[in-house]
Amino acid sequence: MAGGKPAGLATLKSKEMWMGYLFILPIVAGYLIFLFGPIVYAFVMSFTNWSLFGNKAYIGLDNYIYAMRDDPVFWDTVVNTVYFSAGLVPLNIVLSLLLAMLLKRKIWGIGLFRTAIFTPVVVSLVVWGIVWKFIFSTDGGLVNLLIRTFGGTEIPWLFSETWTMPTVIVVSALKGVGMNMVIFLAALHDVPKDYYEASKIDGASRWETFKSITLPMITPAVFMVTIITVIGSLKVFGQIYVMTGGGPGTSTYVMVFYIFKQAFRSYEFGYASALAFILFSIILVLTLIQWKLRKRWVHYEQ
Amino acid sequence: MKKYGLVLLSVVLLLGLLSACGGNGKNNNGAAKANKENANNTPSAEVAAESKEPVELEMSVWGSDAQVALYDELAEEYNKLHPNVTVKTTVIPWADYQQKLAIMAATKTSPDIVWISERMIPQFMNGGQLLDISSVKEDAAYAFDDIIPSTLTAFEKDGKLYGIPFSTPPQVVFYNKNLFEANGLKSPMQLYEEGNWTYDEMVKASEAISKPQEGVYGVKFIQNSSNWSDNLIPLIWAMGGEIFNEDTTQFAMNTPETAKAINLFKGLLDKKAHPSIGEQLTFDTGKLGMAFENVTRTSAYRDKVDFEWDIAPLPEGDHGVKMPIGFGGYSIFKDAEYPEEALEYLKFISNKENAAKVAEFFVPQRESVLYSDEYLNKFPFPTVETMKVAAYDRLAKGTIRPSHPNWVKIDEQVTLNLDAILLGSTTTEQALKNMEDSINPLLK
Repeated sequence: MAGGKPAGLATLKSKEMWMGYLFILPIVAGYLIFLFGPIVYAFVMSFTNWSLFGNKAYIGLDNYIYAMRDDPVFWDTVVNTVYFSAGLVPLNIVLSLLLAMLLKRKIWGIGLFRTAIFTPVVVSLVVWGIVWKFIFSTDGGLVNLLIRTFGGTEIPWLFSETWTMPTVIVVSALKGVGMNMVIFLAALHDVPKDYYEASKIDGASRWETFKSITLPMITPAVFMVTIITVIGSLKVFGQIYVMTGGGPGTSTYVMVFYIFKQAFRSYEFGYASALAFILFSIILVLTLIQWKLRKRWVHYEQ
Repeated sequence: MKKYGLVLLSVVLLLGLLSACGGNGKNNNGAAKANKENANNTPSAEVAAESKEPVELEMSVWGSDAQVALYDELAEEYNKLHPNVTVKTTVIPWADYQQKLAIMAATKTSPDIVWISERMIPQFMNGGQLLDISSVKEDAAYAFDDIIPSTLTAFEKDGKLYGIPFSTPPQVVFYNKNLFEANGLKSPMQLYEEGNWTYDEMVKASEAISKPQEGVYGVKFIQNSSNWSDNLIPLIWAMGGEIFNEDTTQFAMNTPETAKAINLFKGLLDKKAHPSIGEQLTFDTGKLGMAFENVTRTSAYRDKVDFEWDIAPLPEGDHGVKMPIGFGGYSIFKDAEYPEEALEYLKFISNKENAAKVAEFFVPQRESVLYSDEYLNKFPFPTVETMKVAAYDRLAKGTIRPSHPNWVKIDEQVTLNLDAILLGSTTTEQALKNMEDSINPLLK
């Protein structure tokens, strides 16, 4: 077989191969120059004490050791990031699944509602953050105005160690819920109708139908949405930067915000790079765990 | 095999996600560098025809369009005098200014001449990145002695001079006359004339004016804890507190005086005589009785608000008044390609004639300009007398806010602990102690 191959076919194949490489060259080159190169460089930087002005010196694992052992703020940022994720991910997924179930029906004008809920996804995060900052402002904000109207005492939503993080979580969930809803909508539409007919004949309740048919059938979508949302929530930055600036105190310092502060406010590029790689390994480990558990969670149609 | 491929793919994608943050600054730098090189390579034909080597200078500012237009005009005029020199004015937004300049300086792509504020000076001056321009003192035509000495301190180090100020606005109290009259209160200026304008009176007036249910507040110092150095420093000074010791080797805020100042501020917040932290309420809405701002803000309110207002001097505290002045100056980066030409241009834009021109926007440091009839009578309101009493006469005794090469980190520590005080999670004394513990090592 191997020896009997006509020469013409091989050249055609290698020609195609080269054409293929040529076509992916722009994206590969862009990736290597603008992403992969800087990432490798940042990894090297994470073992130095480079602070923009001073001399760069190799200090081994000192940055990592300092972060883990001596930097009190670092662990705050880890806790805050986990708090944010633990709040955002369930809220986002439950809300988007509920909305998808609600908006799945084919009734007149449903497109309008779907559009309305999807719109925040295309709004700039900064604009979204600023608008909600106004809505949640202590003295003149809409939320506190309503609370006052009904005789309650106002809450300093964005200047409180108790309320600020939940506020940011809710605002972030409202922003991102549309995207996940669309994914769930598509998955729900793919569930074969005859399953539902069969369950109707068997006399299954609505909850049973959901639990035994809908949910198992959309697990691939749930799995994907969960991974994306978890990763997205660990990288949260924009809404924190705009709405709270990390405050009050360090109560909303999340990891990316702290990395940003270290690198571009304090110019500690070496230390910031180390923090970035710690975050990277955390996300990597989480993703690998999820990937491993996928088989147990996800039901694929045979 | 396939599985490992997928894992690898996810690793690669994750790397991509993480690097999104860092990419920005670098790209900007690249662009700036490319721009500069471009500009250097393409001098206009007219300049090339000159016998002298064509020189292109770049000057960075954080100013408004109108201010940039004025500098462009000056550059054009300079070009007529020195046909081989062209100057380009680049705007960098205030919020990113220091950060961007630092990165440009580190990558040797900085502008030749820069606007610089008092906060930024130690970082660049101690980093040895600014050009010593002491030679201006010897230039008789430049009339260096005309510049009020108190405005130069930020640029002086070891007997050398690293820049020339162009705007040093003293801080004053803006007050809403209508709100004072409606509450039957004496205005700050009246109290001042009676010799009774103190922080105690200020607090009383604020409490009388405030009607939080109508969105009206007596006074506004700061919007967020991170603005503390703008408007709480004068209060701390007035009570006899200091930020650092004299040679900036010790943190000096952990004193009863500073605690008193901060508690006074917290008291205003607690009594709702001051808008809540984070509130974006500004003086021009007419819902603030008083605002502590730089005198240059007059141009933002003059003929632009529908209520009566005026300015008054800062109130007196336990230790009198120590007038804080804002600060904007010109410096030259050592790495500038044409340091001599840059210095000549710096002298041109800050000489008597042109200092008078830029005084359209700024508070001048040259006595000959500051006290010229032309400058004083430029605007009918606030009146010359008021401006003199509230602002100009105090300029010579004014103090530029302190700074340090590690200012960014110091600022962060004060902000964090001030938040704790305002939230009530720590006592003022404990928070000041915490500040001291975390800031003193930064001053070593």
